[in-house]
Amino acid sequence: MNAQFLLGKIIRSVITLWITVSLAFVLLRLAGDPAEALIPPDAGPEVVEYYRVKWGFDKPIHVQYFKYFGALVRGDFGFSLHTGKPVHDIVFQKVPNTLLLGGTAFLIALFVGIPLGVLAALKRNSLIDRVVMSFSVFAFAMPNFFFGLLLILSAAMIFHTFVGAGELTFWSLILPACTLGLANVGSLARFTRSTVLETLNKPFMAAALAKGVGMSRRIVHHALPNAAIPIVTLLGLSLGGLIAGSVVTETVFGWPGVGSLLIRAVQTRDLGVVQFIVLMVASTMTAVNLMVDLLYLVIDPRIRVK
Amino acid sequence: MALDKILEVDSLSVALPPGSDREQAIENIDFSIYSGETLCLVGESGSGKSVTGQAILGMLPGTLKQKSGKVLFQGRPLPDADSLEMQKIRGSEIAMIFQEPQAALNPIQRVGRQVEEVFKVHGQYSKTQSRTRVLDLFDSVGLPNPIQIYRSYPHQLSGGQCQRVVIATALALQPKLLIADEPTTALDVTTQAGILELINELKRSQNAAILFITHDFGVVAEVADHVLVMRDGVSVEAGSRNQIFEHPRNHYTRTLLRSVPDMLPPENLHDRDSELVLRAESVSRIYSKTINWYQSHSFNAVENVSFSLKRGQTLGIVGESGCGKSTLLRCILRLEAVDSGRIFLGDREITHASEQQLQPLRKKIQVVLQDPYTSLNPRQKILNAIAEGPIIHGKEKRDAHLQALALLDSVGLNASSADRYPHEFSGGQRQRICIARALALEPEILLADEAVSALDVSIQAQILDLLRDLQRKFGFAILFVTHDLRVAASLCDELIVMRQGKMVEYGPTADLFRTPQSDYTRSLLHASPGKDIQFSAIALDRSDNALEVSK
Repeated sequence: MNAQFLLGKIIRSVITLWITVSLAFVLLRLAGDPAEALIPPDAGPEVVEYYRVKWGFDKPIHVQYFKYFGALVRGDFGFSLHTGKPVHDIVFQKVPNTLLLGGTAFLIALFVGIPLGVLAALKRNSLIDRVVMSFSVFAFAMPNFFFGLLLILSAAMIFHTFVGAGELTFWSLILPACTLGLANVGSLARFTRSTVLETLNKPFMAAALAKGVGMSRRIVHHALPNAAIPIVTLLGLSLGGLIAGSVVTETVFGWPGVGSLLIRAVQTRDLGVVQFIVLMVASTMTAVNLMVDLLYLVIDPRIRVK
Repeated sequence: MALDKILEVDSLSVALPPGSDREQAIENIDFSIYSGETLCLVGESGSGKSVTGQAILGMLPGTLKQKSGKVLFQGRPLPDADSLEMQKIRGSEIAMIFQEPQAALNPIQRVGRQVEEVFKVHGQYSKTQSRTRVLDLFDSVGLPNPIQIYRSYPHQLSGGQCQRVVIATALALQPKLLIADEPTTALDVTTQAGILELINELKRSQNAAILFITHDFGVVAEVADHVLVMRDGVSVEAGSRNQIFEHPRNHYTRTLLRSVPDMLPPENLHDRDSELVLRAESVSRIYSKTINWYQSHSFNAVENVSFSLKRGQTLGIVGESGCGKSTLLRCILRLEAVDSGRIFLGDREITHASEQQLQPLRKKIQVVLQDPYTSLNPRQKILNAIAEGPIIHGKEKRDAHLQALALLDSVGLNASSADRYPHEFSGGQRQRICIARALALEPEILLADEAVSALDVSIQAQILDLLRDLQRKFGFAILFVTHDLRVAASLCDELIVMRQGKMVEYGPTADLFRTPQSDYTRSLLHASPGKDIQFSAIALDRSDNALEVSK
């Protein structure tokens, strides 16, 4: 039965992917003629026309669509209009950087946000709670780009370190990772606090107390596993977001990742690259979603089908 | 067996946070419990009975503080609530049973492991030993197939089974004192009878002292050796079971006892010749539950139910949870499709009437629901809540408002209530408002879905009286859904007993109580707690009469 459940989920994920990629395909073609954007303006109309035909932009959109999809299915993701290289080579080159940044940011969110939230819930209405909650409001009210600039400035003034574009050092990783992680720390801490509080008020927590179970065991064995169910949902969303949403941070810090690549590709209408990045981000999101669904099954027996 | 004094509570007071409606949650409470004895703490909501139980175990919510008084357990004062010593006493020497059994179990842990946890935290038995012990416990609390129960999660068990698991947890280390806080309130009457029997048996076999907290005098009659009646945090009367039931000394105790409806229905006095307002002909409703894409499982939520309701008559539908009584009500309201059978409103068939055809008819049937707190829009003033229906059905605004004021008067509320919001009223008052709202459309039929179940017994008696008075005055018919046989007995002319979607019995209430035809009805009647006590016969004394007149 669980295999069937899984199969259903996978089929739905594939459909989601297909819809996303198709939408991206149509929207990008509505955004203007790529041939005109790519060819220098002083080139004659016959040059533009030559490339338009060469790249297939002269064909009706459904023909282009089927050609594109046929290639996708065969594992051919297309080529960059700019450099002529296969898009997956260009993008995959940048993926490790983005993963490194996104992963670090995610770990920061996880290991700072959740403990802060639990702490605030346990010490409700105390000074600690208020400090944590104020910090969390600050964290997600602060715009990414601004906080990033602040961090760069403070690092320069306090530690006399300059974060240069393109180099990979400890500082050049930790500053953008903090920037990217910060907003997630804020929302995660707040959310964890409210779910843990809600769980602490459940009758089974009183029952555990009445059984003679000590404080730490009550929290670790009863409160946290129950509070985890909604937190996992939020974690899934933010994990997907960290991989897709690093555009601003990567630009501010000059981080050589997928985000910066996407910006450049959009500016130059490098359709192949943009499309591949959309496909990749959509796949990650769906995969993370699938993982979250499976995790529910592990955590919550009520969701398991008998 | 010698009687040991297990618990002595000596002028215990617990302070409420500043700004509450009174200063103390409980004030100067005194009582003692001996081994092999049950003391019942009885009172209406807000009387402080649960707080007393929590204070003993050192489990008061953060906002409450014990102000003064002593709690002696086996002659020694109990340690500080947060201390390690107290933690060791909880679950081993003093154990607790809770109101909502399903919620008292961790939903994502197998129940066997939850019972085992008691052994683990109190450092008893090895892992395999404790497993065997848990299975023994399950057996001793009457759970079938202990091995399977051990591996189950709470949602896979029924309410009664969950409560047995909770009781097994409480008994694991053979505590000297058992605190049971409304342990059967959330359960069906037949399940309740089983649990009460189990608790009584444990008192004898384990020689434990039991502090039993309840609002239900029927339950008190079944389990109590001694009784302490509480009101607004103060003890108003204490005594043995017989003393309280036979010679209650306090006026409040007498009022409470007399509010409990008797199991003796009055003879049917209803005029049988009046016109028919509602008729159901073999109504069925089938639910199907999807198992996966190509399979589904269907069951009959309501099966072949037929009845008729006359003007001015009250028909009760009784049954335990899941028997289909609410679904039947939803079918009659056409909130749910009817899969077969026919429904007539007067002589008009409404089984398949469209929403458009139903709209003008809707005002003929009005509903009063169970929870007066959630069934009023918190942002709507009372006057508007009552007048809204008539205005929608085309009444002039001014007339509708005048009528609303008159209705408020009929349900015993002041005209000044009209301009206030629901949160300014008590539960009983809100239920009066709901009744006024239902009557505003001058319905032929009033559907009441467990309309008095959430109310305290004295308020419940008032609302039942009000319904009878209004029915006499306006002549509407009532279809009254309830799980409570006492309420049904006191209000209904005829009764339908339902079980698993089917109509088990249908007839005049008096006949049905006197000579029940089906085994199920008999078992329901038999399971009703305190069935042998005739509460209305409890004597009033002169001071009560004086008070009653002055009211």
